[in-house]
Amino acid sequence: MNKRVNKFWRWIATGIGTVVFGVGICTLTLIFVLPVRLLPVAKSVKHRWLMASISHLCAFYVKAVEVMGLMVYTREGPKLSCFRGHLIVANHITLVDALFILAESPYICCIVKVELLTNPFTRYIVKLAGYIPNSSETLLSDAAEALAAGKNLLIFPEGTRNSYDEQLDFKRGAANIALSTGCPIVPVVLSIQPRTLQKGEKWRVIPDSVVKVDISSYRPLVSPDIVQADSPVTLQARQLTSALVAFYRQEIGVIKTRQLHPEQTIQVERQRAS
Amino acid sequence: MAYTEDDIYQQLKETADKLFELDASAIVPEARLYEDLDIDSIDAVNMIIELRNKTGKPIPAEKFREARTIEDVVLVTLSVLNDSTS
Repeated sequence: MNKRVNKFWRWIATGIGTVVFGVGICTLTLIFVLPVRLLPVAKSVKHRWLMASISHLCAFYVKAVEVMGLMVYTREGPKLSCFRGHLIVANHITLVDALFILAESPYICCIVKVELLTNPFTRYIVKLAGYIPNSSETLLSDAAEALAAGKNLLIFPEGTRNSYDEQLDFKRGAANIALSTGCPIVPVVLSIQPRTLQKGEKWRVIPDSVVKVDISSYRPLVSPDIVQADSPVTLQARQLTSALVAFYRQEIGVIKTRQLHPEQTIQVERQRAS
Repeated sequence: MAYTEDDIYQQLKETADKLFELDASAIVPEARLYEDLDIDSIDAVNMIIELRNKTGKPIPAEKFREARTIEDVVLVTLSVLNDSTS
């Protein structure tokens, strides 16, 4: 297809996607703000309903984005629906990466920027789903409570979208949660080409080619394997954070090599299989 | 016995070495906790707990909410400690 026609189509489709997602969030908000709030059901049950609804909405959105030809994605590693009470750690590459992760499991509680609690568009959803603000003084105890209830926590330790895949400027919140709760970490490594929906970028900026997202998850890491048990927890958090950054850097390298030489990967896989 | 500013600086230097592996020379009044010393909010809580253990005095964490520099921490610690001794 003509490149310009394709780009024009993706511009239209991105508009449709944005509207569909907006309508989805507004619908969920309306359903959960009024009728559901009035139901005599425990708060934790409502959190579960909304987490499941968000997961369905994200799955629909991911499908729609793929069908409309905006993004293609590859997925490697264990499915996130296998896990309960784990800390899912991901690098933050684009506005919509969380949707790919949320789509996979209805048991994900996000650690969010406090701005999402003041933004009129997101605040109700974030509150009603029981998401945890990252600046909360009770972050560690809130996280422990959510994990004990069988939720997985999703955290982007960079705290904000990065500007290139290898940036990986991790803050230590994720490490501190893992250390204080003892929960295992499921690394999710993301890579995107070309970059789109970046920080401060309008949705109308359409990349020149279809966006390719590579998503890899890995078997859980446990902190005692990584940190020195006799260090104070403040140093353990530093050790765990640098180990995570090193892990992500290495795996992004693997993904990039695969992107550049797909034929080699196939060979390697054949060798493994034989 | 009342604490002096020098006492607190000494305590802070020992604490920063133990908890953050920071050199004593980095603990100067104008050093900003987050930007210069990479001490985040969870680190700050751990630092206060350590000061509490060292001095054996109750040091409420919420008094440090506004503290941004080493000097802020020293002044707050000093006022808390001397209030509780008097």
